[in-house]
Amino acid sequence: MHVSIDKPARRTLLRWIGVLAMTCGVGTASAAIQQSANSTNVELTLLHGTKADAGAIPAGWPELTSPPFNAYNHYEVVSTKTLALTKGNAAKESLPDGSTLEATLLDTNPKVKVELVLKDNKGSQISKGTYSSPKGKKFLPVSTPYKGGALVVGLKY
Amino acid sequence: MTPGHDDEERDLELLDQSELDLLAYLDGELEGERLAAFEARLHDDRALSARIKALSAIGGFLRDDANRIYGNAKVDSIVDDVMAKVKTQEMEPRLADVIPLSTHVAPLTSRADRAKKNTVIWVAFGGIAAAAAALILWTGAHEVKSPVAPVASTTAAPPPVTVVKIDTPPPSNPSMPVPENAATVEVSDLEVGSGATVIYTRGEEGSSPVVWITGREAK
Repeated sequence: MHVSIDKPARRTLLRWIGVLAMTCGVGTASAAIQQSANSTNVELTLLHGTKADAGAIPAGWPELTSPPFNAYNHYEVVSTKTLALTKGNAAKESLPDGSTLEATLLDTNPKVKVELVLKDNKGSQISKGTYSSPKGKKFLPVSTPYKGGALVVGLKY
Repeated sequence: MTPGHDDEERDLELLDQSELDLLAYLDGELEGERLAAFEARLHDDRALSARIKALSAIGGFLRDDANRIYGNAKVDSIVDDVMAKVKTQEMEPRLADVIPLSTHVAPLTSRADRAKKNTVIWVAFGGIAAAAAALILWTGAHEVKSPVAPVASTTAAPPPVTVVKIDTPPPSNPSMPVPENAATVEVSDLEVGSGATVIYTRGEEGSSPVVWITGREAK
C-alpha cells in the first residue's frame, strides 16, 4: 500500500530520525568510552625455556636472549591467552606448574596499571607487584621453575 | 496687476459686450441700465432667450452634480493617499542612514529552503554519529575476549616462602641511571618470597624487573 507523506511531514520525520540517531550515537560512544576506561584486555603468554643443543627464541620476545633469560637457549610458547580485565575484579589464571596468577586492573590512563599476584598451589603468595606499562609493550614479569627449565610469564597490555 | 489678472482681462477682451452682458446676467451681476437693456433685448431676441435657458440648465446641472463630479474625481482620496505615503516614508528609516553591518550580505533564502537545509544538516549529523557508534560497537564486538580457561595443575608442593617487601627496587647497575620514559614498564609495591629474586633487565627503553623464582620446582 502506498502511503503518501507530504513534504513538511517527511522533513519533520527526517529531523526526528536524525535527532534519534545522534542521541543513540552519542550515548553509545559515551558508554563505550566509559567501558574502555574501566576495562582492558591483557595478552598472557607462557613460555617454557630449556637448555637445548639448538637454540630457539619465539618471535616478538627478544628479551629472552638477554640475562637472566639467556640461562636457557630454547624457548617455546606454551600458551597464549587474552585476559579480559575489569577494574576491581581479579582475573585468575592457573599456570602449568600449579601456581596461580591473579591480575587486577587498577587503571588505564595514562598507562595500564595491573596488580599481579603469583600464588603457589596452596594459595600462598610468592610475589606481588603493580606493573604499569604502555599499551602494546611486552614485558616478562615472572619466571618460575618448570620441567627442568623455566616457565616465563609474558604480558602485553 | 498680477500676471493672472492680465490673462483674465485678455480673455475677456476676446468676448464682445453682448457676450459679457450675457455672462453677467447669468451670474446675477448685471445691474441698472445694462440689466434693463439686456432684459429688453432678451424679450425681443428669442434666440438669446433660448441660449439663456440652455446655459441656465447647464449651470444648474453643473451646480447640482458638482459634489458628485468632485467625488468621482477622487481628488481628496488621492491627496489622502499621497499624504499617508509621505508620512509613512518619513517614519521609515532611510536606507542611506542605515549603517551596513557587513559588506557581505547573505542572499535571502526562502523559509522552505532554510528548512530543507536544516533537515539535511540534522540528518547528516545524526548519520555521522550513528556511524561512529556502529564503528565503536563493531570494534568492541571484534575484540578477542577468550574466557579464562583452567589449565593443567600439579600436585607438587613448593617450599614455603617468606614474603619480603621491597619498596624501592634496586638498580642492576647503580652507576648508570635508569632512563625513564613513557615506554618504560614501571613496577611499584613489589613483594617477593624467600625463594625469589628480583632481577632488573636492561633494554633499549629502560630496565624492567623480573621476579626470578628458583627455590621451588613444580615439575
